[in-house]
Amino acid sequence: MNDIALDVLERASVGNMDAFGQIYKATSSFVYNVAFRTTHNSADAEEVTQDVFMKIYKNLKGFQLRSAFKTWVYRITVNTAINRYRKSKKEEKNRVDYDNIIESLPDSRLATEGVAQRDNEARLNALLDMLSYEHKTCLILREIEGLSYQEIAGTLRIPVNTVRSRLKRARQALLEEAGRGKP
Amino acid sequence: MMQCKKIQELLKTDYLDGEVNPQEEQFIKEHLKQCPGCSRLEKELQAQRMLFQGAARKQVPERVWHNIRDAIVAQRLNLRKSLSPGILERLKGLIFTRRPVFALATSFSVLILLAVIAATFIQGKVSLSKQNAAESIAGYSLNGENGYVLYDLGTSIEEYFL
Repeated sequence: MNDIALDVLERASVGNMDAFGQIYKATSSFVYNVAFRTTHNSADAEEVTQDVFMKIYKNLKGFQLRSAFKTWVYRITVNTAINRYRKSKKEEKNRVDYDNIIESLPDSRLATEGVAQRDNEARLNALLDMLSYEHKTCLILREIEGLSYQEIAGTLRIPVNTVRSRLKRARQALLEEAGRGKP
Repeated sequence: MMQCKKIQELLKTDYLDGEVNPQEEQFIKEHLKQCPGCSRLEKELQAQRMLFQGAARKQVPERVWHNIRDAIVAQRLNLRKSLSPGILERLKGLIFTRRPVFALATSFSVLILLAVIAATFIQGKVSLSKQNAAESIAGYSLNGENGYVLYDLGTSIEEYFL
């Protein structure tokens, strides 16, 4: 995510739409991509992105400009995306629709295909989906967005050692899962 | 073996993420040259990383910004509406809105009117009872069936002096 000048933040905080547009340009890719990787769904990612920017707009006035704006956006994004993901999971559980029935049917082609033979995108989503949301969030912030351990710790408000331990467990789990998918 | 365990932990975290210092990095690289187990793990972790790096970054659809902008404009309009009502609304509000001061004044006026009516009525009654009292003292009353009624005016002693 690009750095945003202090005067842009100040102008946006008093309702200047051009300044707010600049903030959007600088941060929307991060917000949307984290949301997409967390929810695995473009409609949910759009909804999360809109929610995040409405929260930023509403709270920018009270935001202490001295503290890191980026970390603040990271945190709002992660929290909003996780909440959306949880809600979707719950809805999915309660919904028995056509797609779920099809998915539940035994498919010899899918069973033998395994994780390794799917395309990159589907593999990635499948692997991320088997992680807990804590592990998944850490991995997304590190691997997709390239945040440092310190930045992840600041975003999730956890110690750096917890970041380290979550990354280790997430990678171990992915290795085990990928090994299981091999023919 | 202990060394491998420690190095494998670093491979899954700090080494892969470039958080080790140059000395540690050099030490691990030397170890990887000699240890097939750790070297295999390092290759698997790099392959895993490729999976993430190969994932295309998603472009944010244009409509997302339009939706946000529309929502902000709508929010501002609503705020303005709630802050500044039109002249008609203001007049309506002035005329039809119940205000405690007006309600109090109306109640007070009604109370005074009732008091005046009651006072007039009581005054009539009092003058009549005064007349009756005078008549009673005289020993008769017009209220009596025969035009004459004796009233009990007190104790027998009082009656004696009367």
